[in-house]
Amino acid sequence: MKILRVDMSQNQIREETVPAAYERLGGRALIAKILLEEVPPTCDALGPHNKLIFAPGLLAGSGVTTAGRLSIGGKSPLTRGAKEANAGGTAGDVLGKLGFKAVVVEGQPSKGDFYILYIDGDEAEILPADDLVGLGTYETSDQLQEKYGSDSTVISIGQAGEGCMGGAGICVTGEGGQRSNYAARGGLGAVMGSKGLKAVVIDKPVGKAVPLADAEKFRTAARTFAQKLINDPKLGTKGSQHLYGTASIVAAVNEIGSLPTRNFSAGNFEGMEKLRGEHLREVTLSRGGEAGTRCMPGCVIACRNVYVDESGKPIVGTLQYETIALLGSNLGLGSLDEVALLNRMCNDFGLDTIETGAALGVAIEAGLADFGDFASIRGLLEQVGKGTVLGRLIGNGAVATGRVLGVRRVPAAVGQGMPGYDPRSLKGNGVTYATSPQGADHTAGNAFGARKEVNPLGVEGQKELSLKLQIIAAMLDSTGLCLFARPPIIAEPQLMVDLVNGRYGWDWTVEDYNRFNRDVLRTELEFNRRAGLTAADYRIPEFMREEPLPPHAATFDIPDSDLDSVFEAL
Amino acid sequence: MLRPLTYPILIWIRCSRLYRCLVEVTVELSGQLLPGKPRRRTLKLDQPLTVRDVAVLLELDDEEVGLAVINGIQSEMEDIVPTGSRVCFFPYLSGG
Repeated sequence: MKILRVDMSQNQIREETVPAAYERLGGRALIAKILLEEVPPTCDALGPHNKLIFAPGLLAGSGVTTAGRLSIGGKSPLTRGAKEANAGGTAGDVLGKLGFKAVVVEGQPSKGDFYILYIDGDEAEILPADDLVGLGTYETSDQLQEKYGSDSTVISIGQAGEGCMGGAGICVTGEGGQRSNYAARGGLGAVMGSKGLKAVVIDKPVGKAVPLADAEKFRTAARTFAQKLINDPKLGTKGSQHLYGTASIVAAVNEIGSLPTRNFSAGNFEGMEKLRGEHLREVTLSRGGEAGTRCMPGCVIACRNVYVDESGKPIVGTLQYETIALLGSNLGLGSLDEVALLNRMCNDFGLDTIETGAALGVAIEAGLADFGDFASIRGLLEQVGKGTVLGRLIGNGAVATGRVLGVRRVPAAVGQGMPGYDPRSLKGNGVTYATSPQGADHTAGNAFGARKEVNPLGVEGQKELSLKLQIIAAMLDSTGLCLFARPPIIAEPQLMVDLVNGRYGWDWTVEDYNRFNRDVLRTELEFNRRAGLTAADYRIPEFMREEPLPPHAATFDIPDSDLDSVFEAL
Repeated sequence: MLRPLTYPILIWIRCSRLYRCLVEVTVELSGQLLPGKPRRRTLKLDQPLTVRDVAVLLELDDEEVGLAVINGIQSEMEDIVPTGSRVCFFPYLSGG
């Protein structure tokens, strides 16, 4: 395998063989290691010394179901620490098939110009992107696929990324004209913008397949893994995830009192009925939209949808739980049509819907719009695309918005806006938000799926649960697997060991694999420590410790000592 | 003529019968548990039941219930459902 080094300062590209220290790493694990080895931890996240790393997981390109996610990472302008965000689409799969362990973008162009990185098989070149500057991700993807082929993969940023806004994400295309798969979190779109990289285009590899060291072992494990996913009551064709998408949990999160409502001031939303997964499916199918579609080739879960307007015209694909929570109930909006329109705007500007939803909630609390008033909220969001000062404020995320507008109730941890679970009534997630080296990120260890193990409202067992979930998340993010594919691997870790050994011919044991997963967190925590993050950064906002959250009057009462000792057992 | 002690016993029997008739529980179903059944209904029970009993009454397959919540608090299948409660049944769900 190889690493592609792209130097934006010198406009040069070079290919290198994978150093021994990186050989057995992939995805998030590789990103963490490159950051620790190569990036000065205290550097400016938007300066020339940070690196933007595209790293497919260990199983990328091998045809394992759900294993085609592309990890993108760098030092985050929001958390100031190590960041990895991953996206579906075709990028992980094609980079894996082309034999790329990683594409590492370094340096910075001197004049603030924008470029495209074009990868065609073994060749790569940096091309000017003058004609794409100022365009949103939809138009950027359209123009590039028209030029390079509709089956090419486009990774791009919108106006938010160009403007180096902290809420900017990175957009990845998928099969059949699919748009808006997002590596959304942590402001990595701003890092891409700071590198002067508007887009990466990858030609579809023809006749390329990853070599398998032990094909029989690999294929047996891959078949077993896929079958277990199909048989899982949550994930198979009769499962909630497939039928209703990630929105299947709207009603349940609302019922347990954890659905962010009006800038995290309540855990129930009275307009939830029109946001729930069943309603989403009903509306989608009745209008001629699609439910149960895939974001990656060969995925057996298929939890995506294409949400359409009343005339059947697609608004956005896909409408997901986190977006519904942050751009819906969190803003007092109870209409999927309105949420979908805001979602499309975010996708086009290249914004993380979680960060933006949190920032808009804070802005509304400051009086810049009204909860539940779609027109005023849309007006605020439009400012981002126009690049006004107000728009740049919103685009820089919840913490920046709160600081400038003097709002104390900012739902963020480690500099990053909180996802769609209020940590006061799902405390395991609060521990993850506060302590994960990734900042407030539900994908770093989501306790919602583990609610039967530990009482969501209790104190006991939360830190142990969070650590367990964080280790599992690190594994998934390093292999390229989807977050939802975890049940079979948790039940049978040997499956993952067989997949990796079958692919590479290694001699990993379950113990090696456990050490590998834990090392990801250790490496990230060490980078963050060197970057200057201290215990004071790994905290839940004060207002959540003091302000009781309806309906359970819950506060976040996990002691600081528990937060500080989560990783003692790592 | 009844002896004085008998009156309280009769009153107790009468009240407990009355109580039995007044155990009302609102139930709500979600997702795959729904087809062919109303989303919400009120059950009038003649005695307190466990969550599992209510599930059986609603003809829910035990294997399909991933989460049961009483008045916003996640519960176990053996928990007793208090009168006036709202009980929500969800299929197996995965965090978004």
